[in-house]
Amino acid sequence: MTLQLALVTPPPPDDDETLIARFRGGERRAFDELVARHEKAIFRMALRSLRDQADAEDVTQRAFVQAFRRLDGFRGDSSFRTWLYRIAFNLVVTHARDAGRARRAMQSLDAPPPAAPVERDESSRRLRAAVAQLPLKQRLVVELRIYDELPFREVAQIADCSEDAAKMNFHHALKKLRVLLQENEA
Amino acid sequence: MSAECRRFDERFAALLADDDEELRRHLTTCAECRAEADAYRRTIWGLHQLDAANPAEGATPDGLHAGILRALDKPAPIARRPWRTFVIAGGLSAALAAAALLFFLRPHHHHPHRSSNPMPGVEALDGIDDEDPCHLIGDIDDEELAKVTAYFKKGV
Repeated sequence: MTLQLALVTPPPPDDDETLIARFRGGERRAFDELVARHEKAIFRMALRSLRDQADAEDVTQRAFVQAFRRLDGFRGDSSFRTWLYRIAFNLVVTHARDAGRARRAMQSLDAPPPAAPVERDESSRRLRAAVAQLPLKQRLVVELRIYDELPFREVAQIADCSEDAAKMNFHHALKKLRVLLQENEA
Repeated sequence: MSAECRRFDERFAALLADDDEELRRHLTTCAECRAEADAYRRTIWGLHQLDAANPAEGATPDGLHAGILRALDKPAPIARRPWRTFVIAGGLSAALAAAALLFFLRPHHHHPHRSSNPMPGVEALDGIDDEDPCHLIGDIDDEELAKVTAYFKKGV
């Protein structure tokens, strides 16, 4: 009976560290598994910040290509996920700095992305508009904490700041959101 | 808001992590901070709703995974060669250093007392450098020799 169960139950998936070790051992397919595991989170982060599906796809693709090429230099000081997020975070910031792209990102909240449904209510639209007015890094910190549910320690590693600085960024962003919402209401 | 409340205000981010027991205790006793914390939580809740209201953001495009794998298979672009920069910068620095060295080690003809006339009362002869003996070395034609002779005779 135990043997039968063992035959039908698939083995638990390898964790990231094991996949990295397999990849370093020459097994290219191990990296594909890392892609499958993290691509959704990275894409969502990029899409939330850039508000453009094509740009988000581009950033996601480039983040994995960079990770693939630099994995030998990954020392494991943070988790692979944090490291990957950090690569994507930097790409998003660089991407958004391009004036045209930044403008598109800012405008998008007044005109939601084509795939997104129309906001259900006025307050959501206002909140979205307020989020768009946050400085990019502050917005990323808020999104990483709230949507990706990453602990502040990890957010800090991704944003390359101290944990206290990440908390303060988050705090100021939320205060600013409240002020912006009040201004929008007025 | 009191100074104590302001101290806690900066720690509201901990409400998310549930890791600030002192803040929680303060909130039970301070109505003003409790109201602030509620507004804080409402904003966070609104942000969560915002994400949930856009299911399109939760999906990944069909071709994303395949696109990434294709990109991984592409050969890496030819890496820029940082050593080139070092070689060029090093070469330029060496050339500048050599030029500076040559400048400082060049034959020095200038003497501080050059402007003063070593033979008072005798005007310097045009074309004759009375401070530079090298000037007299080499081929001297008759005309020039006559000039020099006259010059010294005059001085004596």
